[in-house]
Amino acid sequence: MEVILLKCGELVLKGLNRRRFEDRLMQTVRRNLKPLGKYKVSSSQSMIYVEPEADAPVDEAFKICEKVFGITAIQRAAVCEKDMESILRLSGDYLSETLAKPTTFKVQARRSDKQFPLTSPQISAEVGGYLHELFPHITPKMDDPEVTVTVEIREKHAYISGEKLPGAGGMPNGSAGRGMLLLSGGIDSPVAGYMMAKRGMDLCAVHFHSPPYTSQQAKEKVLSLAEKLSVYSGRIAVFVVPFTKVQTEIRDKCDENFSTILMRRLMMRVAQIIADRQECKALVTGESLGQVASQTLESIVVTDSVCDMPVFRPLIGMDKEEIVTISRKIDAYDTSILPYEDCCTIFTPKHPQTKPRIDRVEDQESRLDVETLLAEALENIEKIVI
Amino acid sequence: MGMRSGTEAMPAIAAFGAACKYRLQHGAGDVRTLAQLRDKTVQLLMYSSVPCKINTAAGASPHIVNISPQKGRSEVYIRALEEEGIYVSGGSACSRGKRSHVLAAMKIDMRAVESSLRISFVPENVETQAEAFVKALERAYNLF
Repeated sequence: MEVILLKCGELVLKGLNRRRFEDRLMQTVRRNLKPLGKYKVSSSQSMIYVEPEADAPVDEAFKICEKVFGITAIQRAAVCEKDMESILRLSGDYLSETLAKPTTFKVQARRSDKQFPLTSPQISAEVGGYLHELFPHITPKMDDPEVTVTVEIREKHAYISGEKLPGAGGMPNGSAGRGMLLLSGGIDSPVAGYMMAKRGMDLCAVHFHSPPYTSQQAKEKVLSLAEKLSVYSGRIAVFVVPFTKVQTEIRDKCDENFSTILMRRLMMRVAQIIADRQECKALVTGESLGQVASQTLESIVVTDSVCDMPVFRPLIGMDKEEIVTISRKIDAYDTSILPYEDCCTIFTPKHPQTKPRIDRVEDQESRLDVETLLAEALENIEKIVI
Repeated sequence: MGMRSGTEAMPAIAAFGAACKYRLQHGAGDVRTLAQLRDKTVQLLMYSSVPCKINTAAGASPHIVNISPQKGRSEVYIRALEEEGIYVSGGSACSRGKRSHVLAAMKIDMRAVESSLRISFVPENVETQAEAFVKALERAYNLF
């Protein structure tokens, strides 16, 4: 029988809150594994045990657990009866593949059952000796071995595991409040969402679309990106805001070179209003310093000035390459690069303002009936829960 | 030996052969018809309310013309025309979905590349269709 062990991360440092974090973590694991089959999820001493029932699959469950935030390390373990004969036999069988290539190893033993006849060092020595005999090419090494075999004696069974793989890291879903992500169809915004979800933030998302300028496919692409994100963050409520009127008004009444910045200011205003209604305490965007005209320092300052709540820009200090690496990792890249026009590309000015001054921006903005535009946009929001 | 192994696309080759045979029989007449149609379309565009550049050079194949309206983006035009039952393409044939490197190499400026449309004709097309296309383009141009 094989089980999965999940080592809890930072949350072990949270003192009195630890129980709550652990419970939330187990809840997420249970929820994510539910479509796969029946699993018993329990915890003890900052370790979560996932035991498949009946013929629930282990490989797929492992892949799902690799994406759960709040876990630093994850390993598979074989379970057997608590006697040395079973332990030795199982370790030889279970670890034959793991120990086939490496040349150095060590055995670490732990027992929570103090009645067990051997002490931890004795267990390590016996198992170590047995494995060395069975696999003579592999020698014991105490410092920095290639493989660390872990033998754990608990209340009812013994657990033997080989490889330990890194978990997703971060903090458990829902442990850090809720934020509103501005989700375009690009590479950056899904990555920004992932990074905040990693710190435990629940996410809502807002997307602006402008039919007939933007297509149905562009909208579906965004929903598809939200789906990829939800694998890591949990459920996301996506709010699709009709933005056509705003864009045509800006085009008709304002200087072309200010169009992008005016649009962004209105987007932030709308996002903030929806965020308030959804009890989100922060906005999240994929802005990175200097990537495009609207993301110069001056532009960000001007955009920020309409916000009353914090705006988290987790990508602000990252290079495009680094962002793309994460985008690929979360399986969003191929979707992000699908070439559908989104509202940011439709009316790009020839010479966009890269260092806009707030007084000139406000002057341009005064030509618009902002209140009415906001009200109209908010009236026709479409909510889709992913 | 200058050879490489591979599996040729036999059905496609046979189909191409059949198509060539058919066209050879109707060939010369077709070229004339297409050229006339193309020229008519260009003329209608010149007199329409859509300021646009013709990217196709004189003496080019008679069945295609590539244009760049002064404003707008290919994808939006394509969809707007689609709604009226007119199907054209954007950019150039070799760059589906991406900005055409061919047009860019022709030193056409960025905005013209992004609004470019490629209209292909068959001998079965008629002048009234060219007129309908131009009218629809005028309507679509008003979006921008």
